Amino acid sequence: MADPISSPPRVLSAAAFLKLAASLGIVLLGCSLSWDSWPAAGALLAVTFAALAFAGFTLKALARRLALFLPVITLVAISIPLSQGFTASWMQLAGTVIIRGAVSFLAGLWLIRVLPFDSLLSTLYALRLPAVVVASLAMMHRYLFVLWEETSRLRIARKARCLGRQNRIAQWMAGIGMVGMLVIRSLDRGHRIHRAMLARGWDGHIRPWP
Amino acid sequence: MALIPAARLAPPPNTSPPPTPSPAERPQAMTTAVAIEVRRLTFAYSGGSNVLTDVSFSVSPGERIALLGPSGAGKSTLLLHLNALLPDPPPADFETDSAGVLIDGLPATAQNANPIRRRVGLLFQNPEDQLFGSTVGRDVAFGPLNLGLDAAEVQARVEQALNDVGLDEFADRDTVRLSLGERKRACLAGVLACQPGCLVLDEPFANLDPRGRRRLSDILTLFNGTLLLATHDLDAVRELADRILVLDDGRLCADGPTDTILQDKQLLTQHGLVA
Amino acid sequence: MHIPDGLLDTPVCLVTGGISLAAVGYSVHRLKDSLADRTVPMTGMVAALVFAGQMINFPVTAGTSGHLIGGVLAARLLGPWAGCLALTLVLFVQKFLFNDGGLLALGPNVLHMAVIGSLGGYAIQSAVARLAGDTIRGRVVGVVVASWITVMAAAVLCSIEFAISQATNPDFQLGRFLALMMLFHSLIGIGESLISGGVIRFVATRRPELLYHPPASSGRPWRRTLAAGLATAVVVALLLSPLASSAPDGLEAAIQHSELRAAETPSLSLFGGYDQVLGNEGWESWSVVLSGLIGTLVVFGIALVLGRPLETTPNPAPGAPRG
Repeated sequence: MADPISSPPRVLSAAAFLKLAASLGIVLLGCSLSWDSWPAAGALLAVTFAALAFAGFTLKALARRLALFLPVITLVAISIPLSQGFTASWMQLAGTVIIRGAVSFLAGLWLIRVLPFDSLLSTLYALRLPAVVVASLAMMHRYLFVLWEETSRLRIARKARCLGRQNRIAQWMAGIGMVGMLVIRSLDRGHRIHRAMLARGWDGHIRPWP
Repeated sequence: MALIPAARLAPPPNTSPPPTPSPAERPQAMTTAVAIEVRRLTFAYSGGSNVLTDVSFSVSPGERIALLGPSGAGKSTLLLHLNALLPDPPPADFETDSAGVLIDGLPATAQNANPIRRRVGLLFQNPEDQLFGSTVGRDVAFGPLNLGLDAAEVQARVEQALNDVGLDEFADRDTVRLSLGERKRACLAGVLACQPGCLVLDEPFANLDPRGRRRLSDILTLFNGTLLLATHDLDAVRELADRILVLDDGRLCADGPTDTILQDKQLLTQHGLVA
Repeated sequence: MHIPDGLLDTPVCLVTGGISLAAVGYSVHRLKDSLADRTVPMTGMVAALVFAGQMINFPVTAGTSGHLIGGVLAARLLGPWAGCLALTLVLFVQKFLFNDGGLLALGPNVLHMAVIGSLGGYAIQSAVARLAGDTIRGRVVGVVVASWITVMAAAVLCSIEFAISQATNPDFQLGRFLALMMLFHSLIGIGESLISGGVIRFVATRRPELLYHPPASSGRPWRRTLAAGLATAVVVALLLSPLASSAPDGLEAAIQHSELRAAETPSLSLFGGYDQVLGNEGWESWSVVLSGLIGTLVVFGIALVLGRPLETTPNPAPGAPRG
């Protein structure tokens, strides 16, 4: 398991590697789809949906997530006919972009469900990702939710303060202040963590431990 | 002396494989209590006024001392000096009669930083800053790993330390999902796993409920090395400390046996220790 | 700002991925000199803060809001190498924890946001800061300018990548796509300038020592000159390239003289036809120039406002305990 302070042995778990490879494989296949390859697209989507069902996703859960994702990919795709003209061929290209993006999105959902983040880091480390990258990632992961909570509290406080004035300028200034506070607090915390690491003998070398 | 932004520190001499401590430096199986000497210590952060002014005291091995003082007195700053964390970076050399900190006779220089940190275990004020591993077990293992111990010894140290603080089943628990009391004890385990000869604690009882306080106090009673405790909790002081140092506005104002100091109401009021 | 899978062709993603891998790998190598044993806690913390900071929304119109990207900000806080790694970590976590962004698209996304955004952003903002006087004011101005330029540069690069993906499609008009992208990202760039500049000013007013200070020993003036030169070239290219179409004959003649003309590689025919495309219809070139002009004017305005003299308040050192 990956950690900010110790590194796992460089042992590749076959199961984890296969899951990563399978997800990548689906994305590669999906991104090679074209407007004419309808049967292939259908088969690929069927396989992906089956895998998702097997991993425990209900149709309702999938629909909800797709509903959040589809506007994003559509916005990206629409830039094509918007700039090139709303002809059949450009609309088809836009459609292809949407399908490709959706397949990749679904493959990503599956991977996150079947491969926990720690296993992913261990697998990448076994594939020669540098220890300092894995450790920094693990440190980020460790404090991500702490910062997320702090930021949520700041946002609520801002909403409470700006309730009377929906003034955009006031909101931007408050937002800048929030990010600024986040920066100062986080950097100070980073320095304190570094000090705590030094206090227990840290010298920058990430030592291996299972 | 000042805290200098990261990039101005000298780069490490080389990037060869991690050094393992030589046999002579390896920690002893039993902890030997540590002596502290603070000699005319004066310190200011860059661009600021003095946080500590001419502080001097000595601690014999095995003594148990409480450091009292109002907020802003400089207690935390003083404690950081005991682990060669201030000044940052530590001085390169030390004249025989210089002002500064000596741990077991070792002056707090850059060269002695690691040996000092092995002898003195520092528990910081905020456990969130000190518990940076992903699980409790991995966090407690951090110190022993840095000491160069092998996997079996690290495992033994972790188990012992978790046992000492009453968190035996917590080795695989996520550090994000702990109560405050559990967090403090996990941090203490992390420090105890290094088997220091001296424990220095910065406000360990802050925000703890009575049960948490009791638990922590019991653990500290069992520690048989030197103990230095910065706290506002006068009950804990009575239980744990033989001697009290009073710090106010960066100066040492009083140094005496616990009973004497705690009976001196005028002293306590003058320095904001009682309402 | 970061693209999902599906837009760019797989070969383009793989090539940009290779470039990104090399650039980030080099950054990791250089980390040892810049942050040493502070790397893990500081990079991890800044990556987490950029991620959390991207959560804070800045309302634009009813229903839409903008967010900080944070490349130049991260570089201003940690330096180029750690800034680049921090942004890469943010993109990694966004993809592998929240399924936000494409998998193959990690290649171009890292290139746009971590490499150009942070590495390039650092180069540009140090060059500008040097020109504007190496003071806190100068650094704020540098951040403002670098934010806009890196966003625009990423938009241009993304358009080129898409054009390469469409290389087999003769009907594709890069000019029109580029125009749309540049107009859109000119506005995004303004937002990024405002937020990044405002945040750096906020931090510099209260805690100037928290900003990154490059090691004094790295006296390599030629690199800085190169960076400044590149930065200038990028700006010039962005603003003047559509105007080059006003002299299509001159350009065509120049290309005819070049021996490379005969090679007929897809990328060359792309650029060979570029000026013709822009010369045909007037609105693309005007919109590109317009986006450049708006951006430049607004960015100068922001730089002037945010770069005004700072009153620094006395403050404790980083991590100084209270009490």
